[in-house]
Amino acid sequence: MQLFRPIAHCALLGLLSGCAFLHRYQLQSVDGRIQQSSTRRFEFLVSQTGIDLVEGAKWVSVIARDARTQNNANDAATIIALFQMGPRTGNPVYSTRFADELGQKLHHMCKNNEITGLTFTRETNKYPVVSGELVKVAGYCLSSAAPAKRKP
Amino acid sequence: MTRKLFPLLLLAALGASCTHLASVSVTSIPANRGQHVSAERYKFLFLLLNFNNDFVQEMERDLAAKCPKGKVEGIVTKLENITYFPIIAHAYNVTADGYCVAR
Amino acid sequence: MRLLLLLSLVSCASSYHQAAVDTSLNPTNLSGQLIRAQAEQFVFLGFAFDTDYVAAARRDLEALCPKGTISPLMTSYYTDLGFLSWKNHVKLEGVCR
Repeated sequence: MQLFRPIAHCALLGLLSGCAFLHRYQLQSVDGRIQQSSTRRFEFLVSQTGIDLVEGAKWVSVIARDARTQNNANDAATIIALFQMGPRTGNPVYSTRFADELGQKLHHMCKNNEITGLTFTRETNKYPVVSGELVKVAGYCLSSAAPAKRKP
Repeated sequence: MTRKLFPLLLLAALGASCTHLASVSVTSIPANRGQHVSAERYKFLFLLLNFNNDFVQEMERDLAAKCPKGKVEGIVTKLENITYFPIIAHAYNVTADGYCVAR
Repeated sequence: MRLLLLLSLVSCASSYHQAAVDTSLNPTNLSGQLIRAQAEQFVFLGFAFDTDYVAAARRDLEALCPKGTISPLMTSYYTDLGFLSWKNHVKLEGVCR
């Protein structure tokens, strides 16, 4: 019975943590040839684990039974928030190099073929405390055999 | 002295507008960078109330009008959030700068 | 000691805002010289009065390829979070041909 309340709090926090968030969406030029059967659609993503230490400290203060631990956890959350100020998109990550390979991956998806209809989305898949910070890329490879449409 | 100075400093800081970059994109930059063209759209927000984003619609036409016989490339697009006074006075500023090159 | 450990963990976090690649001018191959330019803006307590660092990054990139085309071009925008301050970064990478 003593465990019921913190477990219930945890379950509620878990449910209310949310799931997927869309932060940015960019669409580049679209060639009408994507409707042809020789066109191939591709999609890939690059990702990094995001960690919300403030949320983690708040979880500790919820789960903790004694007031001292709760106070310490709340103090830790305040200190962390002071040391992680700035504009946020999703959760903080500890490496910003995960998207550096985007250009290379894009090239390998569509070697020697023209790329069109590129979309870039910045998403977050959120879980309690941790999250997946994603950059998803999708587009179309125009086959070299697909002729460009000419105006009559 | 500090008692009088701190509110003045705070007021001065609040009075100076703050500009933050919300998003940025850069398209491929051409070799010919002779003619520079730009377009800008601005929207003032009172009390952060914003009911539509129509102000950016067809902004590309502004650029195209400055480059009627060519193509605009190497476009840097920025969306800025401007704060004149917290909560009360804000603004969106969208700018697009590029080069007009011959087709 | 615990405080120092905590500070060491929190002080190297970043927030990644967006990444995009443009291939409009030369989409089919990557032959050419890879060039990079980066610009930063330090912001203390949220006081930032312009976004001119973006133009500075673009100028630096163009200076590395004065007579060529830069395509494909990748743009990254992220922020290093810090104590009462942060640093915005715009990184441009492209292939100069």
